[in-house]
Amino acid sequence: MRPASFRHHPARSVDEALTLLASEDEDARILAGGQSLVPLMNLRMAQPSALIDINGCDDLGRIDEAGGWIEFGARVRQREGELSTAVRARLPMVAAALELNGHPATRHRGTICGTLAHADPSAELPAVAVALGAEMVLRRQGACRIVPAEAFFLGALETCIEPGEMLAAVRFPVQPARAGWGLAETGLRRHDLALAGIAVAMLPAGVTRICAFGITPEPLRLPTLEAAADDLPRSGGTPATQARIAEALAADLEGADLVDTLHASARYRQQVTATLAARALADARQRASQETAT
Amino acid sequence: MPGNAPFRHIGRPMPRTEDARLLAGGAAFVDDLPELPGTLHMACMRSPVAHGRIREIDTSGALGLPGVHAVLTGAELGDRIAPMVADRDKAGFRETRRDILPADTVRFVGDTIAVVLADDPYVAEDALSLIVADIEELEPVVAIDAALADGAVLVHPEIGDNIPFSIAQTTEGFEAAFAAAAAVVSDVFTSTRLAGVAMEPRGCVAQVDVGLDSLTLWSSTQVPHLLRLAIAELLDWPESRLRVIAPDVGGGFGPKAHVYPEEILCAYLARRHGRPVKWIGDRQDDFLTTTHARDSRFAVEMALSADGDILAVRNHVDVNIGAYACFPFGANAEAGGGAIYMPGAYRFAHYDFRARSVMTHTAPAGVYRGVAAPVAHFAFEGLLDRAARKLGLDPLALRRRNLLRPDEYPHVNAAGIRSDGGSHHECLERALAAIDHDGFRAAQPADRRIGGRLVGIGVACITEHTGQGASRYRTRGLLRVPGMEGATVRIESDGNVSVAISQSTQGQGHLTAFAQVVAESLGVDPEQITVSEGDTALSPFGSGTFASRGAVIAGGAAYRASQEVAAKIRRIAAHHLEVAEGDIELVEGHARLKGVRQMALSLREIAGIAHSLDPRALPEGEEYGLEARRFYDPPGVVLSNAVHAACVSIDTDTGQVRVERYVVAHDCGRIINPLIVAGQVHGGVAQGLGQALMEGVHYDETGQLLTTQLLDYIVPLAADVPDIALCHVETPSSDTLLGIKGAGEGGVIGAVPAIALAVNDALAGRGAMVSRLPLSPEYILSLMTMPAPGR
Amino acid sequence: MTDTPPDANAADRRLLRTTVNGIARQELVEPRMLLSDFLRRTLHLTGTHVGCAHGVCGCCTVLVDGATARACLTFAVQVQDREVQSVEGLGEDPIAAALRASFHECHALQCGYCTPGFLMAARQLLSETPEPDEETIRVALSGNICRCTGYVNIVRAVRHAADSLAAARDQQQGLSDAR
Repeated sequence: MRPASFRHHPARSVDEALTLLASEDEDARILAGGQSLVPLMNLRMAQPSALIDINGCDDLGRIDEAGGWIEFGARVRQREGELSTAVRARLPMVAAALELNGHPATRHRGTICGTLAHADPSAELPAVAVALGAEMVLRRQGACRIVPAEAFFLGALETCIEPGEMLAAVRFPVQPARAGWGLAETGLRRHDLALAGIAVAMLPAGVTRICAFGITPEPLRLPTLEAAADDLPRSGGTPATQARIAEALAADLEGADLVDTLHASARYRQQVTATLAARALADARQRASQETAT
Repeated sequence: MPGNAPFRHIGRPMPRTEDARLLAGGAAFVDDLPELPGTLHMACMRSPVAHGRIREIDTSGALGLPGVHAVLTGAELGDRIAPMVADRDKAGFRETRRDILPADTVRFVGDTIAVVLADDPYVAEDALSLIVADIEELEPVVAIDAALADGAVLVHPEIGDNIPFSIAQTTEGFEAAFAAAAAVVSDVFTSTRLAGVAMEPRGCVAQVDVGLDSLTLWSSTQVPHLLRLAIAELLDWPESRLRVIAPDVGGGFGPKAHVYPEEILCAYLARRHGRPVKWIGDRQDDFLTTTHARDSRFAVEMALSADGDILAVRNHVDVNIGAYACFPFGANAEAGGGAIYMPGAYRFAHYDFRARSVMTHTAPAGVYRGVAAPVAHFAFEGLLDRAARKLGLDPLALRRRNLLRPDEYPHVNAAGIRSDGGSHHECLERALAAIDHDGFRAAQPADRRIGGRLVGIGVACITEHTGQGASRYRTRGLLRVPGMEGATVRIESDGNVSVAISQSTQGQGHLTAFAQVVAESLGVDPEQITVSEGDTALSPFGSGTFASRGAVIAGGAAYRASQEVAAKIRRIAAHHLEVAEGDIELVEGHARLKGVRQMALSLREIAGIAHSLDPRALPEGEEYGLEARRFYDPPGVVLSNAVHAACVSIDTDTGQVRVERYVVAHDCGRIINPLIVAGQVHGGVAQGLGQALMEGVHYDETGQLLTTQLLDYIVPLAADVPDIALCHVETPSSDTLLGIKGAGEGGVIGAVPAIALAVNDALAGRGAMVSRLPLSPEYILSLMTMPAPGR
Repeated sequence: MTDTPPDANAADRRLLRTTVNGIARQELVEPRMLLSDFLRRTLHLTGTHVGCAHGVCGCCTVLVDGATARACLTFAVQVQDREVQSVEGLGEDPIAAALRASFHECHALQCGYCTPGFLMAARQLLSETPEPDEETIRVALSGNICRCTGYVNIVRAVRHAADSLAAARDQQQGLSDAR
């Protein structure tokens, strides 16, 4: 389990990285933390022709807060985001998602943009990005486009990043005061990849955004459940509430391509997603009311 | 000395002498050994299909890659390596063969079809992708039922079916006893296939002295002597020119107690090319090719009286052993064990068993810590829970009623196994007290629900077959397992002590424990004794480290050899001190007249006399040197026993089971080092927890392995295993030297049923009881939502 | 590696400058060489073990600029101008020393293959959270697999090391107060 050969291009800036990317063939990849890419390379399931190494790009290493957004450059490590006081205060669900992602040793290297670009169905951060309405900053030499998180994820390990393009940054709208959030997941072990999970963002104006992960190849917004969320009784967990959530979820999953693996069937994933949704909604409500109180 | 004499070193919780170098990064696992000049790195191409006929393997692309030295296929190898044969034809057994590098037929995804030798491990792996294999895919059999079906595809057509081993036995009067029962409970208990997952994958390095035609093979093995024997047989090479060394080995747990094709290939290729050949398996190799285990099904019936006495048990075991019978244990280890291990702590007179090993196109399965016992006890304890419900008895009362009492020992059980003792009741009461069983029950609601969780407690009473000697292996038909162990104890000419043991250690603390045993005999500090293991050139012949035999048998051999040396020290000392031998004591590195400090000779002086380096002569008739080599072969088998108690909680939303509290009360006879014994129990429990809750090797219906990474095959992490409390009950065996019983496997054997019973308890009232492993969240959730059966 | 095999990629070697265990190193490496191989095969620092090569088991955990990282998921070229510490380089580190002593005393290692990785993960934890509770320890160590100990004595040893470091700090504090 050792990787095949590749051309290695260290870049010192994002512009240099984009130039190098433009000069390489379609199989070139960006190397940031490598925590998702290198395992695939060691297994020789990924054999990129070239790696554009952005670890030397200091201009991609910043967490910037401006205009109601917090933006993470492509080299910002997950651990940096997790421990950032700005993130913990104003994007608490992002900090919580990062804590659930891998382990300290992988978060020290792995980047926030890297886990988004990898688009693993069991990962928390893509769903959190969708729930929070994050935006992806995609750049290629001489061009830049902004893609909402919801349009970014196309499937398992599949995004709308095109050849020659890189995810240069991701930005999250700062959560207003009195916003609530809930993040619930379950795995086979206590600290494990999620078999299913739910991210809930509850905005003060009565807007609730809910996104599931682990159950479909890409993070899935749940509009029916979102619409029903406001009407659900405040105390979650009663059979009646559960039934309503399950019903709404079933409507949202109608025709969806459900993940079905040896570790958990699609049926199980759907079943627990409903109960996880109840938990995440309850957490979000409770946090929203706490925020009001303070 | 066994008996009442107080021990100075045996029984002491001495931290290990092994630790310092491991903690400093100075260990020498196979891949850590300095690379020998000219080393060629071997990489293996594995069959991509479960069953197929090799048409052609085109190696030209690989051979053309710079840095590639050679590529070998089975067709090219011809018959230069004899096939591995683990069993011979005899009653119940069929002989099958395993080609080291198959030329015609591949039998599982992972069978080796070509090997590359290259200057660098990266290049060796590059070369694999350039080999083109043309294999005609044939229909595979993957599961037990398919392999047993009429007209099933045969894995080894020459034996006529897929059953290389079967055995059946019924006690006299079984049917009458069964018919007289007031109640019968039955169920089928299944266990998903497991992998051992030692943290160090297998690996080996072979070096040949071309002039002498002699081989040194370093291997991550549990059985250095048996590996040497296999190399000699398969390569027709005198054992006298072969040396096998097991250096530091990063976990064994049974799978490394088998001989593997890569070891034979490295030896062969080093001889053929006159250069060192190194193969280091990676995790994927490990999941594909290292033996699996526990792919088994137990169909069990238990007949009881109205009062709850167990009258008779029927046990039909089928085990999927994969594509080949592994050397040295052959086809029967798990199936035979599944039958023999079931009668344990409980009394019953009538037993009917039938056990079969079933071959399929999957990786070979073999011994893994606990062998069949964890599942056998899972099945048996599961039936007791069903019996308690059916008879309306308290599950604990039912167990107390049927547990063997101390006054019933020595006891010969219904499978014919004799045991000299068992402290089941004492262990039970100790475990119940330690886990506060009564307090738990008092706090546990009738519907088991606390918040969003169901809580339950499980108590399992188990035995562990340890220290099996030669007679036991002969009886079981495992003729390639010698059963005994050997030890050499030598006082060097400067008075320092060297010990060489026939086993190898994979973390069990042998070097410390055996130093404690020898120190006891010689009256020196264990720290001053140098113990070596794993080197066939240094140690006497022996079986190796598996089946909880280290402390009992190798410990016994070390004790015998050290006693013999001690006797000679006493004779020399008595002669020169002019006192009677019986008045000499060995303490603090001296032989002295009992209680008289001034009347003493140091070990250094005595060693000088024995090596003719002292003005004083040896007593007349004594041989030069101060060393002894002794073997130990204990009678039959000695049974350790334990009671495991687990508290679990189940998330009612997800079905996820969490083990909250855990207690083990166990009896492994005389304990050499309680720290080490505790470590064995802890590790075993964690592996049992893994089998109970999460671990599983999965193949799809075409025989493709689905679990090839640690993301797919999951094992317990620190957050999944609770702290484990231990109660040591110490009943020395009267059958073994020093009264030692083994302790390597009880942890895993007890944990599987204890956790399963705790889950049964937590689910109580819902009608469901668990019958298959692992207890995955999905399985548990399905039981929770299942209507109560009309049982 | 001492010998230089005549492979096709020899031309694509990079001069890697890095500091390992306090010693400045300059080596020609292939870009694809993993940090684990650089440490083990080039520098002969074999205390860092490889248990899975896909980032799950934690055996190969080392410190890069003082923070834990998987050597099997890091290319050697990525530690250009960085400081790497492997288990061999932890000798003087007070937290690591306390951990080694506690691991020995509490019998927190058996085969020892995973041990260097656990020392790294535990050191990371105690450097950030000097007095962790049991749950915190268990979560912090959940990126490392041990198959021998059931983690029981590892968790106890980390607690023990934290206690002994705290006692040492208190003593230090007492001494400076007395002055």
